[in-house]
Amino acid sequence: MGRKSSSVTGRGALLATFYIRDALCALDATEVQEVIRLGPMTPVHHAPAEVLGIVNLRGRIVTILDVGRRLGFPPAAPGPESRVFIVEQRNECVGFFVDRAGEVVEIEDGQVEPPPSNVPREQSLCFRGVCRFGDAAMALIDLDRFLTESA
Amino acid sequence: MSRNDSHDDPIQDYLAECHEHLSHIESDLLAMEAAGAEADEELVNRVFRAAHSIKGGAGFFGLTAIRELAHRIENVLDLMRSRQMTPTPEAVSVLLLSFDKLRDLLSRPQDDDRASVEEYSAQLARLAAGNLPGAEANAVTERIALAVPGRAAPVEASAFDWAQARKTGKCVYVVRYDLIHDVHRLGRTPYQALKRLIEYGTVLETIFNIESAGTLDEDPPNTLLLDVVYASALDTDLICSALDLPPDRTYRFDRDGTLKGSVGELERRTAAEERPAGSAAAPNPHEPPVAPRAPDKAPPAADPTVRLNVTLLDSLMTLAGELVLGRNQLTEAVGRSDERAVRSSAQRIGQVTSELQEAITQTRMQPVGGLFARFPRLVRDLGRDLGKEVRLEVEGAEVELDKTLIEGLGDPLTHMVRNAVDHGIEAPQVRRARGKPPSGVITLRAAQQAGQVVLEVSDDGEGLDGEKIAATALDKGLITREQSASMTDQDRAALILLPGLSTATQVSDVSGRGVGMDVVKTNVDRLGGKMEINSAVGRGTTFRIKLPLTLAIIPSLLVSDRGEQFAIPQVRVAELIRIRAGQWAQRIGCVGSAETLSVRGRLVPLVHLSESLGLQRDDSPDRAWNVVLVDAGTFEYGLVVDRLHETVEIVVKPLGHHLKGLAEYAGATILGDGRVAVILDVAGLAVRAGLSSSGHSSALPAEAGFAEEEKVSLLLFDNAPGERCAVPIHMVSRIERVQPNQIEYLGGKRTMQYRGATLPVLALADVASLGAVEESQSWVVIVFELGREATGLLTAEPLDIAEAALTLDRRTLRQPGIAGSVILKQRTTLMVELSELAGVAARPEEAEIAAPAAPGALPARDGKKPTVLLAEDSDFFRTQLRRLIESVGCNVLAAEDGQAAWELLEQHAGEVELVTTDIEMPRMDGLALTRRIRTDARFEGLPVIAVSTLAGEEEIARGMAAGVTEYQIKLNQDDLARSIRKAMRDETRAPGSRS
Repeated sequence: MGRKSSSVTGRGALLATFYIRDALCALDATEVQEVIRLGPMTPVHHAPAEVLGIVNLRGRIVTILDVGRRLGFPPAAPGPESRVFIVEQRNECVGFFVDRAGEVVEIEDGQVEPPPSNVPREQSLCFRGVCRFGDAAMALIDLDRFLTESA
Repeated sequence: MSRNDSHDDPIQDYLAECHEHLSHIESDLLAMEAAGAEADEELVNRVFRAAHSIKGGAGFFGLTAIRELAHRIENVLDLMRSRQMTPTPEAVSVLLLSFDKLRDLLSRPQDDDRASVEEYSAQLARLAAGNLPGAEANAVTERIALAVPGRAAPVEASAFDWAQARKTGKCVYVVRYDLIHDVHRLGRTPYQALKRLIEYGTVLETIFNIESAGTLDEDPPNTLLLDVVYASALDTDLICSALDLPPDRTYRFDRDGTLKGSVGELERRTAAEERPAGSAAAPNPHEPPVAPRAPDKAPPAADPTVRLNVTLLDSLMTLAGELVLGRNQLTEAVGRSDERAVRSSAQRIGQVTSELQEAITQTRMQPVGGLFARFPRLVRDLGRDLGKEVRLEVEGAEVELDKTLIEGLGDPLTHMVRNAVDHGIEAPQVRRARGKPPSGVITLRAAQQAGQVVLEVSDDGEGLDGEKIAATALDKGLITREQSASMTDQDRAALILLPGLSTATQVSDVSGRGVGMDVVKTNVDRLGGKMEINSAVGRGTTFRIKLPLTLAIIPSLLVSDRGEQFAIPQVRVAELIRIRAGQWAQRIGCVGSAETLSVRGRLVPLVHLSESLGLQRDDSPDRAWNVVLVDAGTFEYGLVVDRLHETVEIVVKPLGHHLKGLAEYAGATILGDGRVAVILDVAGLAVRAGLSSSGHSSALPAEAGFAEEEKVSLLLFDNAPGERCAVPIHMVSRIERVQPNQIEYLGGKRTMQYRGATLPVLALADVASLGAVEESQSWVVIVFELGREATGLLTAEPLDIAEAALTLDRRTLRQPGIAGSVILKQRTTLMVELSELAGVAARPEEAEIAAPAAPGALPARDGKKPTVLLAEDSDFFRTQLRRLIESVGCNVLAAEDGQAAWELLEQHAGEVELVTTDIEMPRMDGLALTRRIRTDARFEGLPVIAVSTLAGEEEIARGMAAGVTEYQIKLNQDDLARSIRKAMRDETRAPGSRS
């Protein structure tokens, strides 16, 4: 992949990290508008499986996506630690349901590598790379791709 | 925005106002008479002012006779006002007659110079003189002369007026208007200026200053002076500001009729007395006033400007600022080649752009008042033309509507208002007889009820007599007796939408002869609106147009099912039905596995919201069923939900693009508690639930999804101008453009020469209540063949072709020769029933037993006609085929699908001698029906003719394989008739044989 690795330029970038089930993932911190707790959610029947429902975010209707479902994990189970990362794309707010929020970390350019070849295809399509963080590996989600492919 | 010139003419204004003044006169005079000496001063004053205003205007417009008569009336009323005279019955009679004459004169202002009012003035003068002491009595006819600067001849005024003004302590002025400059300076029409005068005092006389106009040899005049002799309680210091006139052109007179000087001079004199020395620069009183030059051209009629709310303008400015900011950021980001910054500013610009777009869309909203503005005058003018007294009231002028809606509503509203004046409001004498005020009220009302704009035109007139309308419609054959009996009052009122059914007993040229309500209907349809008519006999009629507004706020019914809340737009909700626990077994029926609910005799399919959303449905026996009867556009169904909640106004929010493909939702909304509810799209939900609209008002679940509606090619033409009609093009054999002189009228019949023979030519007006083709139109004769005979139908251009799925409205406009109506190319189009047309036209000569006598008809056996079973799902084709088969001389049993046909066949096993069936049908198609017949011993040898639009080799082969006797193309009527005859004869000769 590595298509976007050039965008993480120079001295590095800030990443907002979170856990999808047990996997550590990250979004470019500038892409995340805010992180909220999951409030009352309205299910939308007949919607694609990755849509958990819709919520009211200060008067806007936000679709909550189950990122894990998209990556091939079993359906999400909202719990006390689950959070929603609000991202905005094409003038629309979308919520990423994550099982647990992580820290915001700074990475150096060059730390981002293409996803290993054993990553399942449906997952690797949504990643723009992996990045080592401490002793864990962290998948960088390609927001554009993720949202485009799912729409 | 074309303006009618006559309406801009100030004299029209004047006449309309006179009419308004006169509208109360009779009742007021009668009230005065009843009260006698105790007559209410205000009442007398009102009548006096009416006469006075009429006089003032008449003087201004040079209507001498009217001025004279009004003046005499005024004199008498002035005496009554000052209690010098009692309104005795004799006096009131004279006044009534005089006012009648005045009304008569005002209706023909162009004849004013030839009119004589001597008889009336003499009577009035006698009346006035009889109530005055000797010396003053003479004043009634005497005149006094007032010398005014700038005129050679003195200004004359009635001595009586002068005396009356003096008596009441008024100041008398001569006010000089410059009709050219003052009008521009004040922004008033001369007539408006005159009305202002009347507000502050009494006009004794108006005289044009002819000298000021100059002669033909001179340059066009810059001034046109009008001298008004004027009495007012206002003193010198106030008069000029009240009238907005320069003091130097207002002259005051002394008690003895000598000129005291111009008001300007008088004021300066006073000022000089108070302030003796040196107040500089008093302008020379004789210097002509400096007036602005008149613009060379009148302003254009259409106003090219738009008024904007300042808040909206501010928000536009803010957005423009944001856009500039975004552009700057973008430029900078591009300069730095910072991709992320570029993206973020692009995003920002994108957002600002859509907000800007929205705000600009807002600027299209206009108050409906602009649309209403044309109506007061229209109503007055029409009322005057029709001798009716009508007042227009406007409510909700501030309601805002989209520009396109405003433009689209102009014509329909005009028509409805015209109708209300013409047909709604009764003549004053009728109103009085009914105990109503003689003047009728028409109310134009606009209101925004959240998602809808409701426009109403109501009148307090005679209302629509449903019985009478139904009876007329019945007489004219527009409806059947059964239809009439089953109609609600509202249905009956809706019959006035039929062309040719005017409710006025007297035809007037104001709103045409009932023509045009279809224009209203079409226009409203086009705007996506609905029309309602409410009427009460004797109390009035209300036409209501409901327009859906694509506003973001709509009233909706909240329901819940399985613990989730849903909103259903109120416009879709027809009715709420609650079925109590334990009762549903009685009320719910089953057709196959589908549940239906019987609502006043109709079977309505039921859909469980929970099931259609993939949830488990609650079948506990103690559960009450709440059914929302919803209107899915072309059909209705009952939506079963757990609970009904309140109706609320909700703000529609779009669903994200992940949810775009879901037709069952119209969006989402945020409820009062902050939760989100989805808004149901009832049509989309019906699709999800497997309901189709295949032609029936309460469609049944189709076995295989959706039966596609069959399309028919139609030839469109005009009958009378504006009456759009259509015939199926397969019926047409030729189109002949003809000149009116090619049509011959022989032996009471219309004919033309056609291919060496005489072609009978019918016209829709012969049989239907429609207009006649007019000579100004381009005539077209449509030649069609019925049986073996060619017949022509006289129509007019423009011709057009349309292909349409025929879902005919068979009720509203149904009448002989017209099968119904359908909206084609955004116009209500009448579907001509050619066979019926020819049949009705031929009836006088050929007795009603027509069918057996028709050419090629089968002879009835044992006095009994053979029976044909017809299976056809399209209403349109079913009617067509039924007619065709009947014309061959058979009885028809008709079924709307294969299943129904099979049931009918079983019931009439011994009778049916032939089956004709469509191939494509819901529930059971024609092939399945045929196979079933072929496998049942009872129907051995029964001929089956398949009639279909599908006529490829393959289809025919499949039909034959299923066992059809013959395969016919639906639109070939002759061949079909032939094969029916053949099949019947074959059958009678040798039962069981196949052709």
